[in-house]
Parts: sequence; structure tokens; C-alpha cells
Amino acid sequence: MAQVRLPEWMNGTKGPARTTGLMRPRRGFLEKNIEGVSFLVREMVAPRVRSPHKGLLQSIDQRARVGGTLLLVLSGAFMKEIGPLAGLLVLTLVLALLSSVSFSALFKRVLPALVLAAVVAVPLFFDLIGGQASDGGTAGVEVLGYRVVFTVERLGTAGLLMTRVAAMVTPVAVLLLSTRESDLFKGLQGLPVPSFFVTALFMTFRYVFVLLKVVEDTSLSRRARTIDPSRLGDAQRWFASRAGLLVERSLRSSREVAMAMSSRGFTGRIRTLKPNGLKARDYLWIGFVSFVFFISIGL
Amino acid sequence: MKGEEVYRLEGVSFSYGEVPALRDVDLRIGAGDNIVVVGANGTGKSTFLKILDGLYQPSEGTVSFYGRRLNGSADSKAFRERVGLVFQEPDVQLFCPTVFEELCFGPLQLGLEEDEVRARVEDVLSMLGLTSLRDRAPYSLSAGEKKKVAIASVLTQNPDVLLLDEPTTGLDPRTQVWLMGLLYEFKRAGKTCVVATHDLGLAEDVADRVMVLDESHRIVADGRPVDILYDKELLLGANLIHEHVHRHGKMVHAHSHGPNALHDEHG
Repeated sequence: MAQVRLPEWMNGTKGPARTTGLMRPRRGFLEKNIEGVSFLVREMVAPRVRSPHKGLLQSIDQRARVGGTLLLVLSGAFMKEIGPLAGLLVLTLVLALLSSVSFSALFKRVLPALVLAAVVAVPLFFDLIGGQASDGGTAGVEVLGYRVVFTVERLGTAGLLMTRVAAMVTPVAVLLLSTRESDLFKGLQGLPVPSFFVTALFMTFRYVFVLLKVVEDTSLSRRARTIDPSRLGDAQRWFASRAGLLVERSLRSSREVAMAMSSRGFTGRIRTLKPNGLKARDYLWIGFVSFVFFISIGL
Repeated sequence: MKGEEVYRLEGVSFSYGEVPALRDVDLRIGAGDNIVVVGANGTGKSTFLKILDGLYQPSEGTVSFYGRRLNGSADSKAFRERVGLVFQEPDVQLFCPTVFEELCFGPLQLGLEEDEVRARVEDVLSMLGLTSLRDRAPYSLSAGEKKKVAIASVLTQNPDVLLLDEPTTGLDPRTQVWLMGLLYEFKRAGKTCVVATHDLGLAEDVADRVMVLDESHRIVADGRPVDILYDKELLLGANLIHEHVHRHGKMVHAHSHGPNALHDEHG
């Protein structure tokens, strides 16, 4: 058997460490961003894997639940005034309450969308052209050399944008928090959409998380061997090389998945089981959200 | 029918671009054969199974299935009904939202009636003790459960030829024993099994015939388990066992390591 010889510098040990505890590696700019984005994706879009608590929405067929949520989102898109949008938001919060959805979990899912909407809304208050505000606003206050002007119209526009985003994102968040992932895709299969698109969506969704796990593990393994956060340039070079690896792995996975599907008889057209029929409460729910949708067109 | 020729491979070679994966493979596989292909990592075992499943076309040579040459016909319903491949990595094989749908996928694509599909899936879930997992998302399962579901998803197609790629990798000892029991049952049912593994213990337990792929990507031995698995030089050459040297005081003791290790060398 081939003998392994350790190099001279590897012989012996360093002895006991003089520190009082384990050093916690500091996270660099890149690690913080990778972990942050990964956390955000999971928090915002990942539905439940296991059964959520019982409640109103959970008692409704998945297809009716997904279709109803779609109608609530469309209602939010059609409404033109803050009042009806706020009403829709309250209705959604009542649904969340009746479906045992935790408000803190709901807030965490809606918050990123509100932050993004705020990024769009805030510039409304800056008068970048200078001089007297065209809408007759007050002289305003100086912030970072720019004049910030508050008027009823500007506040109304920003408020409408924020309320619309909240009213449209909250039903989706309630659906994700009250529905198991498997039920969510079953619900989508029930909609009048070709099953191929739903399967493609599911597979994209599933493998995004597989790849996300690879990115997280890569970032952790780098942190495990790092004491000081590296310079941004080095971190960017490392990230570019890992992105290449990720593309290669995703291509390999997609080839393997395609082969696994072919091996089980897939020839381009996916056949699925026919879903069971809807019950009276499912029709009642669809009738209710359809009513909300139709009145929203005039509001 | 037992003994009827299922596969015939003549001069089969395969390469990934410039990198060879399999070279000059000639063999016949009869109905009801239980074959274990052993080889170290990277010797071409997975490629070999994918060629048998019609997923790869050989770069050279021909593959025949029941006397008919396999080319584009590998996607035919008749072929897919008869051959099932369990991939090494269950994550690529499990792509449906629930375990139940995963098991329905194969038979539905093959055009079976829904009632028959549901009945088959219930039988397989019950046979493999997976009923409690039927509504779970496959990716949320443990490694052993995923492997069982991957096997179950192929069994619902009721293939005559079952190809298994490294079936014991990542399995706990209890699930490994369960797998051996399953392979015995297939044997009893007259199915043809081709298992690719580097687990010599599995080969000894389930094989009627063992083939060795070495690092030159060629089949260097094909015969009875008793002739192959105790041929120390052959196994050492194929990197399937290794020699181990340790000391008892001043005496140096050398022997091979592996399930069929021979304590025959002392120095």
C-alpha cells in the first residue's frame, strides 16, 4: 500500500488556543448580500411544505383558493381610489385571521414589496426641477440640496400606490401562508392553463431552491475558511467563478431531469390525473370573490 | 420468457466529447438475469445504464432490445413500458408536487387509465410502506425516503427490466436490507435487474452474474459472483478493494480491505 508522508510543517499540533471562545467569522459585503437575498426569496415566495393550521381558506378546494386569490389581486388592480383599496386590504386581513395566518409572518412577506413601492413613492416628494412647485405646493424643506414638497396630490398619489401594492400583495401572501406547496400547484393545475406551463413553473420553482441551497453552501464554505472579510474586488472575482459553476450545475440538473422524465415515458405532452369536483362551499367562495371583483371595476 | 435475450451490446463505446466513458462493450443480457455491474467511481457505470435505458446513443457499436436495434425507438411506448431506470440522484428524478403524483407520473405518460393508475399507486405505496408520505412534497423527504419514492415511481410502471444506479448510496443499514429484500422479490417475479454499484456486499447478496468495469472503461470480467468477488488481483486492479498495512508490535500485517477481504499476507 502507498505510504502517505506528511510534510514537515504538518507534524505536531498548535497546542491549546488562548482565546476564551470560538471566533465568529465576520461577514463581508458579498456574504451579507447572498444571505440576505436568499433569506428574502425564502421569506417572500416559499409556501409551506407541511400542513398549515386549519381555517377558512384551508377548507376550500385548492383550485377555488388559487382562482379566488387571483380575482382579489385583479380587484386591487382595477380599483382607482384609496378607500376601496383599503377596504380590500381589510377584507384580506379578515380572511387571514379566519385562516389562522400569523400576522407577523404575513407582515414579513408583505414588507419587502412595500419597501420597493416606497422606493418608487419617495421621489414624488422631491422637486428636482427647482423653482416653484408646479402643483402649487409650499416652498418645502431642503434635504440634501433638494427641495422636498408636500401637497395633498403628492401624498394622495403616494398613498394610492402604497395601498394598491399592499392590497395586491397581501392576498398572495395569505395564500402562500395558508397553502401547502403541493396544494398550491394542484390549485394551479385546476386553472385553465396548459398543464405543461404549470409543470414547468413547478420545476423552475423547485430547482431555484435547490440552486439557492448550492449558493448558500458555497458562501458558508468560504466563510468557514475566512477570518477577515475579503476586499470587494476579490469577493466579486470569487462570486463570478461561483456563478459559472452554478450555471454549469443548473444545466447538468436540467439535462438529468429531462432524461428522468423521458425514462418514465414523457414525450412532450404531460398527462395528469383529472381533479375531483368542487363542493358547495367552493362555489360560494368563488361567487363571493367574483362579486368583489365585479364591484371593484366601478370603484 | 426466462433466458430469452433481452439486450445485446456489440462493440459499444461512448464518450462525453473527448472524454471516454465506456469502451468496446460486448455482452448479452437474458430475461430474468440479475446482473450487478461493479466499478470504481467514474468508470462508466451510470453511462452504461443510460445506454441500456435508451437515453444515450452509443458513439460506436449497436444496442439491441429483444432483437431490435435501439435508436430513436427508445422513446416508444413498448420500450418505456418494459424498462425502468432508477437514477443515482433521487433529486433529479422527483419533480412532481406530491409523492402520490410522482408515482402516477410514469403510468399516466404511458397512457394507462386513471383508475388503474390510482390502484397501482395505492398498491405500491402500501407495498413499500410509503402510505403516510403520499401527500408530502418529495424534496422535503429524508435521503432514504427519497430513494424509496424514486424506486416506487419506477415500479408503478411495472417494468420487466429494472435498472438501478448506485441504489445503496446514502441509505441507512435498515433501508439497505429493505432494498435487498425488494431485489429478491423481483428475482422471484422473473424480472431482469441490472444494478450498478461499487458496493461489493450488495453484489454478493443479489447477483447471479457480476461484471467489472475498470478504470479503462472496459468490462474486464463477467461471470459468477463466486468467481469474481474472490479474485483479489482483479478487484485490486479495478480499484474496488485496497490493501491495508498495519503493525502488531514489530510484525507488519498486510491484507486487502473490502467485503471479501483475505487475510493472507503477513510480513
